[in-house]
Amino acid sequence: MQLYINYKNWIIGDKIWSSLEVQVSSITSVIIILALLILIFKKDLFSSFKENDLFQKTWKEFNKSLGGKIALIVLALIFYSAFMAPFISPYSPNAIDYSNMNYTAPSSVHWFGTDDFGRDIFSRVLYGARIALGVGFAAVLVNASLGVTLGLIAGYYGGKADMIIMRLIEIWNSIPFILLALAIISALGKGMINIIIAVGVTGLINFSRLTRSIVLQIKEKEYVLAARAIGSSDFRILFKHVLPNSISSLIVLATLRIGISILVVAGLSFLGLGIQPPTSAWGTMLNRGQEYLIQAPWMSIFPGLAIIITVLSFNMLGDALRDALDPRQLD
Amino acid sequence: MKKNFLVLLFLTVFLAASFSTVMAQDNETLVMGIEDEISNLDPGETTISVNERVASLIFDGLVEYGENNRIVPGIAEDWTVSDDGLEYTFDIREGVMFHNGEELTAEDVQYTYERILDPDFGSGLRAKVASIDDIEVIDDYTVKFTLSEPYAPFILGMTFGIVPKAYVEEIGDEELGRNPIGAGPFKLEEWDTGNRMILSAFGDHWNKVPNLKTVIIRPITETATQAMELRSGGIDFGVNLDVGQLDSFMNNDDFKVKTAAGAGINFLGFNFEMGPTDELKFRQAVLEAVPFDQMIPQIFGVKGERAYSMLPPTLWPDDSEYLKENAVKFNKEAAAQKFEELKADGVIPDDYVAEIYVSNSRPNQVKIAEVMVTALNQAGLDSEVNSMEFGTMWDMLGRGEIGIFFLRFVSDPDPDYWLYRFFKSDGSLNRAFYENDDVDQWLEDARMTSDQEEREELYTKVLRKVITEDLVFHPLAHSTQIYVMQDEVQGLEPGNSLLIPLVTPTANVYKE
Amino acid sequence: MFAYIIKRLLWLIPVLIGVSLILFVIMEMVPGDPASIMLGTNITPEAVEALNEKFGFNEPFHIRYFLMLKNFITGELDSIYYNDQVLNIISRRLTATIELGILSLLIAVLVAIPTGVIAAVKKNSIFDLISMFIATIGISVPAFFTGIIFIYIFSVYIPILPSSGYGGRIWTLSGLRHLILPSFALSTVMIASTSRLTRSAMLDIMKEDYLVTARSKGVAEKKIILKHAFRNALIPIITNIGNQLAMMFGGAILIESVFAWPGVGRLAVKAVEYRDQPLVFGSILILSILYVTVNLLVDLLYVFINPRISYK
Repeated sequence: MQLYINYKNWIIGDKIWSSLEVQVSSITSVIIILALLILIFKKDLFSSFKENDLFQKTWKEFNKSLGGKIALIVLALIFYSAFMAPFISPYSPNAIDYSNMNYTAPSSVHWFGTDDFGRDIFSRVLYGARIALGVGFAAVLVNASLGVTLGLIAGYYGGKADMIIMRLIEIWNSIPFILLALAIISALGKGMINIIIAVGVTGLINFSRLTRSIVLQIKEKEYVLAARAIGSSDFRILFKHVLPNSISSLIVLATLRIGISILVVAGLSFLGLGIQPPTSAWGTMLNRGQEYLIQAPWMSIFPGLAIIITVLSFNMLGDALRDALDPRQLD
Repeated sequence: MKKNFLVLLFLTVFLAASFSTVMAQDNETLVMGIEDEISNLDPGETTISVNERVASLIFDGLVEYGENNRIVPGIAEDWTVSDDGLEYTFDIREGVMFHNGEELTAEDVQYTYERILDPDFGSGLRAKVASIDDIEVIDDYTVKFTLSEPYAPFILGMTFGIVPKAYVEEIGDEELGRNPIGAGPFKLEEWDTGNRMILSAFGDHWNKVPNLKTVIIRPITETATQAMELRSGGIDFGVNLDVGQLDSFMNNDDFKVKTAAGAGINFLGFNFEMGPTDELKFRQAVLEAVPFDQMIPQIFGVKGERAYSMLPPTLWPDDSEYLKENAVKFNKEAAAQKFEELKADGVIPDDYVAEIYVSNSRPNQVKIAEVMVTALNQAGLDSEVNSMEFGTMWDMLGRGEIGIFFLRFVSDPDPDYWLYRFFKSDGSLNRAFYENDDVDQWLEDARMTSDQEEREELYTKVLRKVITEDLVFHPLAHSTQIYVMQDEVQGLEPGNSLLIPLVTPTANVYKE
Repeated sequence: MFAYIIKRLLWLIPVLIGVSLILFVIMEMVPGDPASIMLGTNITPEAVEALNEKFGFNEPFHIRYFLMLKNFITGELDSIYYNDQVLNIISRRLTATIELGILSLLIAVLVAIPTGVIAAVKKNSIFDLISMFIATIGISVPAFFTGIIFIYIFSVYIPILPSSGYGGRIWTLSGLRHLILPSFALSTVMIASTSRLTRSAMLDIMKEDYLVTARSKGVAEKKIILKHAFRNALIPIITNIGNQLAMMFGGAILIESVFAWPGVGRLAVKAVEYRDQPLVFGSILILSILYVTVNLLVDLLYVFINPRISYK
């Protein structure tokens, strides 16, 4: 993750591609897109994988949802552009021509136009995918690991521990999340890691409640009772038996939370507490674009669309996964 | 059925509400958008810019700012200064009325200043009048200030709003901030904090009765919203649009955009107590690496002009020719080489990242920082923008934890206010932690004398030393004060950033 | 029932203490003090000292906390930035926040529930697909962006509504006109999530045995849907609305900023910016209390919808 959001090595030059790299990257793109299309429309591709019934069943269910498949392709493209940004973006996202800092409308030279510093918006949106995905995933990782741990402990031990933990989480949750994130960022200072922490520690209640309810269900199952009878340690039971059984619901929730985290980061940018410039982050770009809404609407439309499409894809993927996996547990 | 009815009712109400006529705008009411919420209108406490400006509509001072920020008589008809510059005697006009119908007398003046001078009151204005030793009421219409030492910019401190003594003593300081009563052209009618404030014209004002019968002040923090409000006609006059929004009003016949130079200085500062910013060569390299001359006009646009001096163009001494010629010029190669050498010498540690601190409430400074970081990275110095809330940055600056920073400063029209606090070793704003005996001496001397030529000479020396020789601060741009208003608003001219010039000795705004 | 309400109200006490402690610790960690921010460039060490003394910042940590909590409860807590008592400032803003919340709720319920029910009944129809797709987009758009676009369309491009500010109480014409844009912008997320949830809750219920039985007995389809299915689906729907409403009072901050709406959320942001500890304390506590209260109301609402649930 750290390597992934390592944005400092971006400034390579005005033009960061040579013709060979373009060819390589375009061929790779075509191959990846083709592979994806096959994945989507050739339904029986995975029927040879007999090793895992659950996996096969899930895939079959997932295959029924068109929205989920489209979301998957779109997300794959977004991931692809995030990883390959240095090779597919036509210009450097940060280099500035100091003699001509002005916005220009979208054209064949600059597909999405340029911003008020004359930087290519298309390139910046591509690089912005790194930040959005990186921060989104990292924040959900923080969020999930804290929430799941607390939920596991509360559900497994029950009694006083359960009551205290869940009450504390409820108290934590009753502070409006944006204000909590704002206060945390004010305390820790801006910076990518601090934003991840601030977004990651808000909204713990979703993960912990879900985990707790699953644990409560599984706890009484025979194999857990058996494991306990033969003297397995609590730790071992939690991680060997309980966690694997809740993983599918957690994945669905995590998918949905990524979308929310991206929106929260955009909201924080609006309050002036987003990712530091000149790093190209969608929320920051959208916020800057507002200033030019009348004369240069493309400055806000494209980053805005990027946010909407990404979050939409995560939500649709989450919905499709929810239908494919056990739907009951999430209600 | 019931539900259908509800939906129908809701729709009708919605449509009725949408299509009813836009609120009738009469030409005796001016609605203005301001950038922040007004919190306190006590003229003795207000050091927050919006409070200060709105309070200036309600309160009048002994003297006022006239054209070109020259001091003109206000409540005081005339004043005399003793030869040693230690005694100021003011003749107060007869028949100046407060909003509650009581007459303003010398007692009120004495009370106003004694309140500010009281250290327990904690007024931010105290420093400006701290040289007062004694205030003496000679008769109802004469008051004499005695200073402990000569203080050349003293007269500017006499612009503070005069408060009614009897009223304040009766209701207390806090209540004054909520229900202010002054002798200014407008009185407070209604104040719904965070939403709007309604002021009405004060018919018995000592100088002139405002043409505008009502002024509505609305805090609209988001500049994009303020721009939309102007377009939709919701406000007549807005003060804080960003460059991008201004562009769209410039060539529009329905609006007037008026500018006035010198509303403040944006500058870059270095810390002299931490490495590597304490090294002259490093500061030089940083300034050489960044094409300030090229980018500032493009970033600030109409909102500012390239600055070479710390003092605004409207203020003396004008030494910008010399300062411009001797300013550090853009030279990327030289900068890159200097950074190389500094790294080789160990002045720049290997893991050094130059963090550039800027307040996130100043979008233009953030933009400059953004370009600066790009340029520094290209010249071989790792750097990052650290745009943060003013409160956090201000705290860190005070503790000397910040190496490179952007600030904006605005003050009253006297060089002392602009230079003494920043460059004097023990100056209250010396955030660069700069110490130089010569500069200290010059600043002290300039305060003591009231000879204009001598002061000009001293301040010129100070400016040359700190800006071109020691590179303490690098002036970036003089902010321009910009008013955007509907075309029918007449007579509103920006000029002094410390007030809203609706009714001044030279102006009386009206709508056509 | 009564005992349950009392018990839930008592729960406010630990919430109050917990939230206040969290806030106090975070605010303690935030650098910067209100005195130097208020003084700005007029700062002098003496003035900072005088203000700190005035605001009681020189007292030790725990004394300040207890003093603040005590003053909050007795209503004597004074704001630093605003020259007024915290409760006075908040009470004025609270009306604006609640009005915005209620109208958004009304819009969301009126739009989302019928949409969700129809979508569930006509599963996989064009209406279902399109409305659910729009709903999914609805939860994917940053709310402040929607707000700005709304202002541009409805008060600049087709100037029919005022673009910002509070126009008066909700029942006055001007008040309602000012409310329309922000409440629509705020309700988008709620419409989206409520209609999605209504649809899935309806679908779940319609699979239940007793509905299948009723249908096979020849009970009219319309009656089945409205009488049996919808009524049972209401519980998850109300839970969701309750959660959304509670979140909305706090989450409305961005909408409040865009529309220059004088609500509690924007006040809290301002308070953090000026390091006005008492005001941060007061405004966020009020929002938390609102959250807990709304959740309590939602729980009580269950009883009225489904008398089988009882609280002991």
